Amino acid sequence: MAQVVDREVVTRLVADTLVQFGVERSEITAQAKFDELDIDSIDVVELRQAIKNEFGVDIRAADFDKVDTVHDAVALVCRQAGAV
Amino acid sequence: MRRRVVVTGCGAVTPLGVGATALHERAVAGDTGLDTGVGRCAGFDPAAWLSRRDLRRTDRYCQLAVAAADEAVRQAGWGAGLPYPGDRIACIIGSALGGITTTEEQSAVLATRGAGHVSPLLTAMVMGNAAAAHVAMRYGLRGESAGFASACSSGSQSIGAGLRLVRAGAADAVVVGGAESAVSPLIHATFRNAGVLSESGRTAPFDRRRDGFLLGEGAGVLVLEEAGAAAARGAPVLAEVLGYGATSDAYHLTAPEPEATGAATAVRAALSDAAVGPGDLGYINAHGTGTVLNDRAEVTALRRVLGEHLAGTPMSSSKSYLGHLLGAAGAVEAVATVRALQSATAPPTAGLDDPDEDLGPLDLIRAGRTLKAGPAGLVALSTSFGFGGHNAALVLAEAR
Repeated sequence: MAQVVDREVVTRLVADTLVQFGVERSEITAQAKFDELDIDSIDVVELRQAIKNEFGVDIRAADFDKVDTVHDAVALVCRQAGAV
Repeated sequence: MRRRVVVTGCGAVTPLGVGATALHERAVAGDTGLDTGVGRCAGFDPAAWLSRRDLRRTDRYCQLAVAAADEAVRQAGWGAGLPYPGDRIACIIGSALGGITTTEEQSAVLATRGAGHVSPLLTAMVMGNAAAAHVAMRYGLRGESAGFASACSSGSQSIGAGLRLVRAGAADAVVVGGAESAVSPLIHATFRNAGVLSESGRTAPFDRRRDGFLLGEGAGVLVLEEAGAAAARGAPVLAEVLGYGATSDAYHLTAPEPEATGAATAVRAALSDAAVGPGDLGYINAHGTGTVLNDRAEVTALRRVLGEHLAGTPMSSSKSYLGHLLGAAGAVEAVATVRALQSATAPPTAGLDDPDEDLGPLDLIRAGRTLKAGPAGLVALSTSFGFGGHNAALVLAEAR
């Protein structure tokens, strides 16, 4: 928390977290769809927790419902975290 | 006519290794899985069964159950697909303490990192039905599934519950068993403080110098099928579950009732359910924890039911070489009993050097023993008793 949030930091956190969930790092691209990466509702809960703990941003579940791709997720976090 | 229930698959992960064969062969050879006073499944790598995602979402108790279930289901010949509609197959996996390892880990997370870091999956990993849920999901078992919590008789009662489901026609097959991984310093501390853990570090049920049990972890799972359906599909029949009895002491939270009335009633009920007499048993896999209280109460119960036949019935305790697997114990011991029936060879009570003569005349197995079939074929009894006063007895027989 309280660190300077930029897109690169957000992208790294999202990717590292997805890898922890069991996604192959090579499959994680900006356009990769969560469905295709087999990201389920439990993963999304844990991803939101990781984002909150890292950036202090509590993203509502309803906002995450609109996320389709890794890019969407990164953009959502950057927007709400006021990333530079 | 009552539906007969047969065992078509067995699986086990125990301190003697991965697989029911390692359990049976090493036990018969006199090996022990106990190392420095505890029975850990040291060679078990859950990643061989579970994806990285499922490893994150499961407590070790659940991982042990999945591996044991996988062996049992494959042995039953279900590897290529279920032989019955999924909603006709039930799954009951017992555990005394469920995901206690995860509870401990997450308690530490709460204390050191704060509430925001506690896993949102804690409940789903800790719940006592987690193993049944994962096994049901893995194989598409859509009949009733549940955990069975009755402390150290959880595994036996899961098997008994499954037997009754198949007999009642509520299921055509069941995947049943028990799993436990509760060997942490916390669990050791509570059992040590309760005075039931062996201070000497050697557990020897029925031995004059026994001073308690040692803790172990593991899982045992059996596939039970209605005999007619199993025969129709040409399934391998490993053994038959002939009878089951279960009672409660309604006496004390942890101590067995000294006259062992409840335990005796469970054994008597199981024999009656199996339609076998006290002289028909060719082997007893005893609960045999190695506490003085248990050994006395158990032998009292068995003598009340079997009378003079007890002295001539070979008996041993799996806990002597595995440790006490708590909620998995009854299931692993049922697997050990099935393998003993299949091979007509029973494992010994490891470390039994000086039988306690105060227990009266007993045929205690001290080295791997060939079992003799009686007029009813080779029939065995497996007993389990749990904190809370739970008593369970299973009667198993060789395939016929």
